[in-house]
Amino acid sequence: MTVDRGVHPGFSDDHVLRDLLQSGYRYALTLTRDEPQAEDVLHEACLSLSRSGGTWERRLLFRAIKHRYIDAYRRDQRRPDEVGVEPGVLAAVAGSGAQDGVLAKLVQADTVRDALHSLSDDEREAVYLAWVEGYTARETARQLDRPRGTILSLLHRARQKLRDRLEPGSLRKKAQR
Amino acid sequence: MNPSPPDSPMRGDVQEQVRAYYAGQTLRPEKLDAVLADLPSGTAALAPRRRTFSSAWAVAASVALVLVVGGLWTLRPSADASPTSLVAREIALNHTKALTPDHPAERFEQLASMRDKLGFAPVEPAGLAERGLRLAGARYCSVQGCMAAQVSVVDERGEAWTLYQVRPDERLATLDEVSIAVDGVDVELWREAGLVMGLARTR
Repeated sequence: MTVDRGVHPGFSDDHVLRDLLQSGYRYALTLTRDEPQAEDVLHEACLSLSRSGGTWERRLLFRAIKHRYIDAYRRDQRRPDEVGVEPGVLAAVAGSGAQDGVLAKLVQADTVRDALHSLSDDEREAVYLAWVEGYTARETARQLDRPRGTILSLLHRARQKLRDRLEPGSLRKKAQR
Repeated sequence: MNPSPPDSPMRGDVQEQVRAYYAGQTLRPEKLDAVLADLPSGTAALAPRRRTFSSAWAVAASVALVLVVGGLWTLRPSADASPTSLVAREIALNHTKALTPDHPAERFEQLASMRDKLGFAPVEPAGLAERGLRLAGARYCSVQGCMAAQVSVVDERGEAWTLYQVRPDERLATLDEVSIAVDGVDVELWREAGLVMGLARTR
């Protein structure tokens, strides 16, 4: 499905905006851990950025998303619940010997999502910005208003936690050391 | 737990797995269109960010360049710049860094997964056990630009030794089998199992 280019005549390439919105969605998903909520947060952030007349820069959109997420969090006065397939269900199915390509990918996504959800919010956010968006530690620090050393610590801890969950046998090896 | 099969998606760096996960997370097309439809006409995103080279970075780069040039001048080829000497020095320097192994292991078979990047699986040298050395783990490194395994071994007194294994290119193939001391580190170089091996220990 495509949008009529006439809606946004200012675009030389509307895929730039679409790409930005997809990145914004992933960032919102990082914060909310919930797909419908991530969509809503992104939508609200876009409207907010549009109303403010801000430029459509990645860092500004991410800021707007963060603010909308905090607003939603305060409204709910509780952490967003996790939704979706119960982690481990797919893994159990796959463990029964049905390791075809599609299922293996689903299991992998399930496993990585589960591992990401095990991180603290700060760790997950730093991981997304640094590893997925390609921000440097300094840029991540600037975006999150945190010292660069803190970002490096967050990334280090996150890598350890993810390794423990994603690399088979890593916990056992650690225990043996 | 059994090691993952070579084509298993469980393999690979966690960073790659996280990237792959996010690459699969996309906003539904209908929702994307709904968001776009709510934006005023003429909304345009700036082009993807590009790294800016600020004046501060320019100064830092200049300083770094001076340091590198100065360092290279200091390290200009000396009377003994043979591949053997260069490798021995590099191994001694790496050994003194005492880097923690990324792949803890007790048996060399447990390091088989390193084959993907190395092009070979680290092997146990024939004389390792005879010298009372046991495996502690390994990490990737490079020797003269060649991908290498940096294997941590420990002797009976708990002293850390470092074993290097690298598949030789044309230059490394000319290495002499020697035992030399470099800056307080004893380095042995030899060939075994088609690999160049280097064993380093602090004196």
